[in-house]
Amino acid sequence: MADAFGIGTSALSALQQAIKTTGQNIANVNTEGYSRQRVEFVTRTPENAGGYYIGSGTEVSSVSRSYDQFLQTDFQRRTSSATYFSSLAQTAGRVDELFADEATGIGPALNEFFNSLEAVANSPTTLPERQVMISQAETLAQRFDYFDSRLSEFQNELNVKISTSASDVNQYAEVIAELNGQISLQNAQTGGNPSPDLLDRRDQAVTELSALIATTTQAQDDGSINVFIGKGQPLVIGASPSRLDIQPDPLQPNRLNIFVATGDQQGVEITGLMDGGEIGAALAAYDDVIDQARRDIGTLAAGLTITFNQVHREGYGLTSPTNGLDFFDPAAGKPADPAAQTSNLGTASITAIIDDPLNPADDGNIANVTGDNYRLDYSGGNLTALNLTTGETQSFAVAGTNVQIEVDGVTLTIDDASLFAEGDTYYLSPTGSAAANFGVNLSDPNLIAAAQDPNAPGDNRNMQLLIGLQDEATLSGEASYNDFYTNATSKIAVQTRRANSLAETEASLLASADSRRSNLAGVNLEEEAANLIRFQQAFQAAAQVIATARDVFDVLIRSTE
Amino acid sequence: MSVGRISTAETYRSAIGSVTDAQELVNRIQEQLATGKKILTPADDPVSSAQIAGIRTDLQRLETYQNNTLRAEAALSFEDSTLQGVEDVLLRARDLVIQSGNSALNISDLRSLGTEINGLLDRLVSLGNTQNADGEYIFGGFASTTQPYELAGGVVTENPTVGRREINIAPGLTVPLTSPGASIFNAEPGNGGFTVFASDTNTGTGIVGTTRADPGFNDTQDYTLSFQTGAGGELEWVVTDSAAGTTVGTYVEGQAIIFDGGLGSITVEGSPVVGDTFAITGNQSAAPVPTARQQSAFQTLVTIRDALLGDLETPQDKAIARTALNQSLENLDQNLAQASLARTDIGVRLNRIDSQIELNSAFNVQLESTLAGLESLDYSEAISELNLQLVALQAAQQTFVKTTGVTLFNYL
Repeated sequence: MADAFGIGTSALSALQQAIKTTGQNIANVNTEGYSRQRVEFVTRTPENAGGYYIGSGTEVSSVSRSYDQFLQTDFQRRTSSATYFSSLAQTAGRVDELFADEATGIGPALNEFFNSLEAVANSPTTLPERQVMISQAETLAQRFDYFDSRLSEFQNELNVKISTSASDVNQYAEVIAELNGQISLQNAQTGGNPSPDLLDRRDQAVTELSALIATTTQAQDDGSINVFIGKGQPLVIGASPSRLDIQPDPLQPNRLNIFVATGDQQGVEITGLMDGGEIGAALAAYDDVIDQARRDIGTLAAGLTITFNQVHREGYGLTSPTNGLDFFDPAAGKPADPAAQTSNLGTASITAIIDDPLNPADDGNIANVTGDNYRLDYSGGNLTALNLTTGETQSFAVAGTNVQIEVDGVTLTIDDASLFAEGDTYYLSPTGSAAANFGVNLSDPNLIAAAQDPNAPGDNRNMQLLIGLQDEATLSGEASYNDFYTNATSKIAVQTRRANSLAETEASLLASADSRRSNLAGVNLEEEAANLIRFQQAFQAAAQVIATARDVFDVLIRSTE
Repeated sequence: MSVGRISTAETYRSAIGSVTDAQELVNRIQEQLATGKKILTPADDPVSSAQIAGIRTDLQRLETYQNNTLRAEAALSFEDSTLQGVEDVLLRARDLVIQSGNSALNISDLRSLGTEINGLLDRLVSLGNTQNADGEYIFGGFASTTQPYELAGGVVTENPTVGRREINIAPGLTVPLTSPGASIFNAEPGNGGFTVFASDTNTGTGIVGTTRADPGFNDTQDYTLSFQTGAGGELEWVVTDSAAGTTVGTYVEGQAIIFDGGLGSITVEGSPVVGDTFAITGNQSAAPVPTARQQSAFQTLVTIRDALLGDLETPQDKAIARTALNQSLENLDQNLAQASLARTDIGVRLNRIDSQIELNSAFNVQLESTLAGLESLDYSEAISELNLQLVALQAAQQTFVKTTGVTLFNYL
């Protein structure tokens, strides 16, 4: 009879575990990353009853979670790419709106500026029209400036995003490493049955990490996982995490580079190996969105300044007997001198201009300026210009003093090539600062050079030439100012559209990955309710077994009284 | 999804998902309705957006061109009415010169004609100095703020500059807005080939009447007509050219004096005497490069006035003045022809502007309709779409409430 008690009790305690587990499932119905748990029952070791074996009840062999590694990995990968595209689409969308906005766009201001030239051409002798032309030019300058500062803000936001994401990555790395330690310990203690809750928490940490950067994992025999980010950089190995460090790019200080380091060791730069998630999106937005917009706007600002000034200098103002005045501030037409990397050992300095020194009247040079940025590397008597957008290189043998070379319309003058040291690097951004530098040089409307002849106030021929500039294909790609701006708008629009549509696609892929995973691993309350009833009934039945056993026992006792 | 079980979280998520999706669509249509545009940012439709930007630029420029055409129309009409004034002055002067040929007029009659001519000169100078609303001298050329004609002490100083201001009325199409003074007031002098001037010292009463220069007349040199006594004691005329070549003939009053191989002809009336000379000035100045001589309408009037108000007492004086007046009549005709040529030119420009205004308007209509097609929202379509989406939203919300309201726990 004791056996029947034992069996009943074993059932009661096993079912209690089952009811507890159902309760745990119900309690965690809303917990992110929670996998529903299941109690596995096994029969207890049967007793040898002489000629045969008799069952001795039930016991809980394990509490396992409903989990599919493939679905989980798929979900994590989708999380990474969905975040990547939605984040990229968000940045691109903001730049797109900047371009599209009638009130802030450069296109309308450019049109209004050129319309103001028509008024000057109509009445070259009167000042109000000239004053309007100057103020329209100032409006245009404000638009360029606004664009530039908005793009800088976006860039700063990307930097903030990268910094905070990197520190989040570090936290997740620590959490995962910590969980790895606990899990491998439990794994050893339980013979392969670590707590499902810890496993869930680790999976959840990996999922959240995936939203920041593309993440892959590798399961180890001891129950821990190794985590790799980007294009395979190890982040967590067993219980030891690495960390990401952020440092400004030595060539482009407004950008951040990412280093991976462990302990006190010097970090290794892995910026180029980062991919996916918020970090990957921010790095991609640097080049594909912000830089491209800045280059386009800069090339327009530089091109307008150079070509407009060139014609303006030929003409004469109302009161000025001499010509040669710039209408726009020539600073916007002058590229920033290539910046030497701080680690350079040599001391050669390079200056840059967009002009053909051999033929200053030639205005074809701005048409060759791509707007792309370049890295200049010195090695073995050669200076190699690497186009950072296209990856093309041009090599120039440099020796002696005042060496002049031309890189896509930009003339570089090296003060003394003998001052180069092997491996010196410079950064050239031909038009990167042009939008910020764009401004109006003239403040006296009398000085606007509408005339081709001196002392001819009624002469509007130079103004007509200036008006004609808006239809000339002066910029790279054989484009007029307006075409160039429209192309730039189209480029960003196409990119935004692409990012948007990929973000939508990825979001729906993520949703279906999530629902597949969730349908397997998630809690269904109906199911839990049914289980609750099932276990409750079994519990009642087991209790009945004990009651029956007691009755039998009672009969036995009474019969002996 | 042919999965056996669906997690409770997923049930909620998908139900909420369809509600928020529907809300997003509703929101987008609302935004479209509020702006009246179907493209909200370039990313919505990059190709159409580029087209829209191009059309907006074209429209903005077209508006400028339309303003320019109106401005040009006003300026040219103003110039035309000024030129009409010029024509009136010159026609009146012509009448007076013809009147002065009437032999019944006495000296004081001629003097009063001269005084009227002087008044016409004042008026012509003031027409030449006409200013537009901006205070510019419309016949001043490029130096449009400098007074082109100055009348002082009875003498006209002429300093208009050249240059026509062009104004854009369509892409790549310009129309001249102004005419420099020389193109209005200056014409080639005399009969188109030469002009004859009587010498002040003539003692006879020879008057140069009609003159003629036939095509091919060598006007790059000057000639002198003089009189001498022939071998038979008869009065002979001699035309000497710059190269000292001479043509000689017997003088018969009213009979044409033919020179330059028969291409030049002068008729002299009255009685010239030996020693009288007339200078014949070719219309091209000879050296170093032949340039056309120009006679301004002002100069013509000055000559007429001076003839009428100068010495008229003796028959000789009268003859000299008469020659000057006859020659001036030819000059006046040339000046008048020039002025009406200028008016015709303005008429042609005005026609061009008119047709351009029509073309621009037609183009404007075309651009506007293309733009509307590209960016304007079809309201009826958008509103029915909005209603549809609202129904979808409602359905999603109801589904949410219904599906999440049923659970086994209700029966426990």
